Amino acid sequence: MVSLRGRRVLVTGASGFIGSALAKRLVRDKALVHLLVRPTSDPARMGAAWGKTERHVGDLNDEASLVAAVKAANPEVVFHLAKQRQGSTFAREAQATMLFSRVLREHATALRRLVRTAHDAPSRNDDAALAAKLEVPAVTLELYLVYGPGQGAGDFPRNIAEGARPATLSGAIKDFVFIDDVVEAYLLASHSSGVEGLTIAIGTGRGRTEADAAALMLRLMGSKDAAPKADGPGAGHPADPTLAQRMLLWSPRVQLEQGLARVLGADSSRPPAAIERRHMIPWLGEPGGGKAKALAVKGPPWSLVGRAAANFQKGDLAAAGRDADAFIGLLPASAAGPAMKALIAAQGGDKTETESWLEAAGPRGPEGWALAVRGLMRARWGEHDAAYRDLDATRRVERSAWAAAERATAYNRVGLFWSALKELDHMRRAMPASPEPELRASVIHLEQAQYEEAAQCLARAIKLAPADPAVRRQLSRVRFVEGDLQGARRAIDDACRLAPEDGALRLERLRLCVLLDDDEAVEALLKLDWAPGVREYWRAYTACRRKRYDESAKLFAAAEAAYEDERAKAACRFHRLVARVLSETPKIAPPPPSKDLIMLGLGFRHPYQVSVEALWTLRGCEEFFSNLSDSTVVDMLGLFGVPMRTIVFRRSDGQSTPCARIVLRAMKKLGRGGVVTRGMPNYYGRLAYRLVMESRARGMSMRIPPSVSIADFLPALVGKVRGEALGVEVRDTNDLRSLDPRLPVIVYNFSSGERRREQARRLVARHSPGDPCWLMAGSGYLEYEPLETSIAGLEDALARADAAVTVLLPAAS
Amino acid sequence: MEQLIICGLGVRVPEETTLETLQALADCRVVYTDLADKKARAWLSEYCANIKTPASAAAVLKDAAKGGGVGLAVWGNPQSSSRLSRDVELGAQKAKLPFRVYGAISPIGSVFARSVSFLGGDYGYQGIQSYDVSTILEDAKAATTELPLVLYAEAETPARWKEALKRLAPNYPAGHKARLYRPDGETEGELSALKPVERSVILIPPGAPLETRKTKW
Repeated sequence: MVSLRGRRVLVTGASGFIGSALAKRLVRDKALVHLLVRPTSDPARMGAAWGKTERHVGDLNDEASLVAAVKAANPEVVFHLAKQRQGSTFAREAQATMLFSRVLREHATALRRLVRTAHDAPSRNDDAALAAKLEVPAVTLELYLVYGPGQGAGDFPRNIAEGARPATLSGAIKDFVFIDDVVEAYLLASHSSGVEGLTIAIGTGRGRTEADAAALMLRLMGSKDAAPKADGPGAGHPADPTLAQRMLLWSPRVQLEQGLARVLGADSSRPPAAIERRHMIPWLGEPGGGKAKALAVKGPPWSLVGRAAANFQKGDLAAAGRDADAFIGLLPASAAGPAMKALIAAQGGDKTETESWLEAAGPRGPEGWALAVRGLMRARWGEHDAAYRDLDATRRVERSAWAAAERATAYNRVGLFWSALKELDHMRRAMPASPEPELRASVIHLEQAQYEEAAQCLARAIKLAPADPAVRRQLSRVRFVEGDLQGARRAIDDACRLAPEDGALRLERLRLCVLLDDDEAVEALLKLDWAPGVREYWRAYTACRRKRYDESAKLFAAAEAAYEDERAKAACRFHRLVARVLSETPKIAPPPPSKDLIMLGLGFRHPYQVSVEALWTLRGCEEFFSNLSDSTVVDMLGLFGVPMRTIVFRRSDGQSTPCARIVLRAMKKLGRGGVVTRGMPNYYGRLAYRLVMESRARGMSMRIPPSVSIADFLPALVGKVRGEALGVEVRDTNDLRSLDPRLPVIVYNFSSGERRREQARRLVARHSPGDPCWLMAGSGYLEYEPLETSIAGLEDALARADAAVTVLLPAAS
Repeated sequence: MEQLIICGLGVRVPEETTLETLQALADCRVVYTDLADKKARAWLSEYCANIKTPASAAAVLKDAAKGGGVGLAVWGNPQSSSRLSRDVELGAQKAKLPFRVYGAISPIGSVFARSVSFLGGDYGYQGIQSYDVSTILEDAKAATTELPLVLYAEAETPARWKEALKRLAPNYPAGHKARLYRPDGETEGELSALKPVERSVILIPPGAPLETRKTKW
């Protein structure tokens, strides 16, 4: 965190929403804070901090008062956030800013930096032109939609928290940025070097409509009120935070969901949400079955469910079924009996019967556990959106640790990872001695590339369960993904000490020893007892890393013959092919003599769709950067014997990471580096573009060998879209005009909410309602399973689909 | 295993051939390919034991009907750039012959990747289109000039190529530059001055530069 402790700072606009938050932070940081205030300025927003500042009464249009304030404050840093109070126009704001900058230039002898907020101008260029005229060292911040505690009454989203329920809200794309992040940006701008003269956008890079945010807020409030609708597709766009990341090292820390929750929590006038205290049936899977036992002694009819639960846990499904039947006879109105029967049916693998019992349980009221059971079952069947809806509905009525864990999983799957972590907090409170919540939280943090947080969870888990090898294994995984192979090795060594007979752990250890080129340890491990094929496989792997390709290919063939497991055989076949291709003399142009950065896609069905050229090119790299951490890819990349580092392009909460900077910084020490992604790297548009531009500026060669993209793959996967004409169109939803009906079209970059529905309506115009079309999730469990629907059903299917969905429409019939 | 495997080898062989394709073809009893390039054929034969040149789509289908795994390996992407694979795929559908199509690097992917610095701008945010030369000959206005256009042909005469470029040129500003990819290398020049050969790909940037255009919506 940046601090201006002991520095003389002058703040204008401190009675406003952003200015007051900034001034309070400066007071807290023990800066020497001077404020330029009007006689009528309201100190309420600053609270007690107001008294810890020196106030100078003045007006932006009154030169004499400005001179007096500046002379008295003699500031090193000035934060200029004030606006004209009445009749504000850009011309008036610009005139006042010029006057203020002149006063600063003439009288602020110690001034190092002016940090100002961009004015609302007819065009962005107008304010940039103004900024260029300032003769003091100034940096301008262009703020997007700033929100948070302390907003004015009636401002969005505070008004929603206070009960406003507008039927519609703006459908324009906005970028919601939390007040604390904005304050941090101001502080960073006050001391970062090389930013003078720049206008820097401060936003998250993620666009949402007010309607989206309102819906999210209502959900956080547990409100059943209808969410406002977007008033149609609007203009607008999110910020491009690249410059802020690069020049200020700033990135937003608070997600919208988290920020809205803080808005709710900060508002003491809002009555606490009523928690519905319904009859809670304890969950069967609760560790120890304690509550099930408690029910068993409660007396009929509930004791029957308790006994059924206990028998279910023991695996005696027949006895459990008898008790459930008896319970239904005694208390037919309760959902508990049918839910119990559904569980028993699911355990027996009968989906039809399970569904019929779930249906029977469903209409009998919102008893949490019946919904939770249905959610659980739907999750097991891969119906994750439906599972999410069921489990989310149990939030207030089913508070068992198990349900919290299932909700956490469901939330995480749909991208509400902060809510998922909150559920795990609840699980922690319910199971204070168990490492399970920490383990689950570490998985979520790992998926968010929050390695340190994941490791902290696991450190707590180790304290709770020092002898649990699963915790050490997870720690090894975290370290591995982070790129710390030595750390991963230490953790897996610990796990192996705790569970010396665990074959999977031993294999993981062997893999790490191979990747670390610890030949001694590898040989010692290979002397142990292994299943047929394992020794040959890892010897082949090592040979490939040492560029002994012919030997490697032969050993992979031997491993394939020895393995019994089909997946292991397939891996051998693939790796043998890699070794064979690598053994060939490349038929491509030699690399240029300059520094060389290569951005490589491994194909959409990675890594199997890797091209021959990609393999030949990768062979010459000194280090890889990859955003792919699944073991199939890592094992393939490990064949090159080159250090690997994991980078994350964009976290699943939508925030970009400074991966281009990481790569370019590392390239200072490398002659040839590779950035490895899935699919085709050009579709990671901004990263590819930035790397191309930065490489050009630094005199570095940058190459992107082609690879199989979703556009190349999806029509083949579906296999039913081709018409007589050759060709395909790939379209961003930004531009859906003049689509050619003769060609299949692949459409990506869908918005959310009503805007997405509008995009769907535009798309289907050229087709008959009965024509088929396909949706492909951008990631996760459905990414290789195109969902077939009809043109008539596309709008609804799109509304339910993954955020990063791609749509394929056939050539029009 | 399916009786018929339909694969693309990419625009440049072997560079753009994927390992997935190579593995699938290696498992086939016989592989039909229309590759004319001798070096490329020789390279493929190191991985596939029995390589043949198809007489027609019907001949491939007839052999596939016998079973045992027949592969078809064509230039580019089988779904978007090859008439032979189109005919074989539609024929297999009609004959209810079990088949599988593998994704492959298409002309669109090939030149798009190799031309990022040529195009400039963030085209991941706008989209791209590809057309076979014959479609443009039928309707020169089929493609929009607001998106980059990938124009390709797996087999066209230079005369028809020239005619297609002549019909397209009026849609673009005078002197509009494009990039030509031929099996023997790549060149850049004015649209009407390019000299494509039978199997070529041309990348034509949009008529107006991306940064000067306003996004709709």
